[in-house]
Amino acid sequence: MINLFLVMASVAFAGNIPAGAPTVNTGEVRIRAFNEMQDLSALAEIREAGQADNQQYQSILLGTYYHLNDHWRAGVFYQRQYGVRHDEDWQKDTVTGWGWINTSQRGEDLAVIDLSPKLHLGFLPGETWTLEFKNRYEYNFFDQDQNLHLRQTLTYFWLKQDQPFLHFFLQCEQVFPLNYGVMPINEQWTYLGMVYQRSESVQLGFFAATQWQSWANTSQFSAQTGNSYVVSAGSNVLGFLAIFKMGNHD
Amino acid sequence: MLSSLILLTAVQLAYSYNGMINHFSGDVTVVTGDQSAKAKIGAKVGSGDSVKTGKDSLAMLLMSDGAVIKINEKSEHQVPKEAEKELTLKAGSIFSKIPKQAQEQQFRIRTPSAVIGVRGTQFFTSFGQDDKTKADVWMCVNEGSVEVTSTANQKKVLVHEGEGVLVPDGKDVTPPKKYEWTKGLNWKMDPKDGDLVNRSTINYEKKILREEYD
Repeated sequence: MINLFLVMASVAFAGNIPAGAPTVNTGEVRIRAFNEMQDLSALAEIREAGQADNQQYQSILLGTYYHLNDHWRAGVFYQRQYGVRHDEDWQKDTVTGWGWINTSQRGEDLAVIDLSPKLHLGFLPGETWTLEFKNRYEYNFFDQDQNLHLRQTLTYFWLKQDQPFLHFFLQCEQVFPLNYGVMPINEQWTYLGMVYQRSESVQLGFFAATQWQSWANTSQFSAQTGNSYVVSAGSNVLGFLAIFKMGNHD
Repeated sequence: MLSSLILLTAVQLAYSYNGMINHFSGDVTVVTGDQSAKAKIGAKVGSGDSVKTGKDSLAMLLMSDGAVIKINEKSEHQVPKEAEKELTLKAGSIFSKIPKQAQEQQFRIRTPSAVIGVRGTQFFTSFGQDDKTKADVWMCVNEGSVEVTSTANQKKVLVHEGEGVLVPDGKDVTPPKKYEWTKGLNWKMDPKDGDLVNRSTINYEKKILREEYD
């Protein structure tokens, strides 16, 4: 599918459209801190990741989850992010011509809400499996873009003396642009990871991820050039994960 | 109504008895009629008496026929008043070790949803540990076997050594199998063997559902 769009772009247009970039290998660090108070779990998350074209992604997420019950949690967050490439970042410079602008220093503010059901898959071998469907809506105040993130997470918890000791997770995430773009899904992630629970307060882990994203022309671009395009790029990510927990662990 | 049901019906064990406390730790109370007293080593627990354990507490009862009952934390266990001598577990969980000479009289666990005929020598019985599951009964066998008969359809299930079952409140018994929760149970019944405290939580479902990392 990705190749198809790359081909479409390269065959139909030339010169002033973005080239399909080769897959890049990058690294990422995610640090999360939870403060658990009864049914509330306050969360602070910091992410830093390398990207193609020497762009650096950085974000901080602040907010809280509320556990409606054992199977449902809802979250409300504020996010500040840098280094996100949007469709309208393909711009014409008077000196260098058309190109992606570097957004590493551009801050964007987002409001995020999510609602996530979680199931216990006790029928699977080992019994200690969960499946979560994270449904996250985000509104970007920078360009008014709205996205829906759907993430499915299958987790196996290895218990030792009845306490989680290690857990393994497989995640698939799809991003649906709600009010822009031409693709129903413009970003996808697949994660495979492991987290070691060093103590009730400290968890350390690693993950490998593969990501794919697409960008489409803006109406401004079409008006100026008469062309349209959809281009895609992918990346492979090796990540480190640190999770700190405070408050009530019961 | 559910709470009343739990308190009134509880788990009943057809059994003979009186006994004595031969080991305890933490907050343990012996209730006789309207009076309660802190547990003492050697204290007699007679017909109709109850033994209550607090948080992080434990009591061992040596019964008159040699059976040993380990009462885990936050539990309440009553020695029978009736002539047929039934033990009642009103809350929490117990480990029971029944010597062969005491097995001439079959042990039975009665619940609203099942009758459990204990043929084994060592088994564990527990109520659910939170509001949602407190009327559920969990049972597993360490030695011997147990016959479980659901009251709903009188279907009999034989539970073998190492296997466990769940009897959900008012529902049928689950198929016996080697449940994950049975692996962590502390079956030690003799203080000389070391730590007797059972730290295993039966309902790990809640634990993993509430486990957040994302």
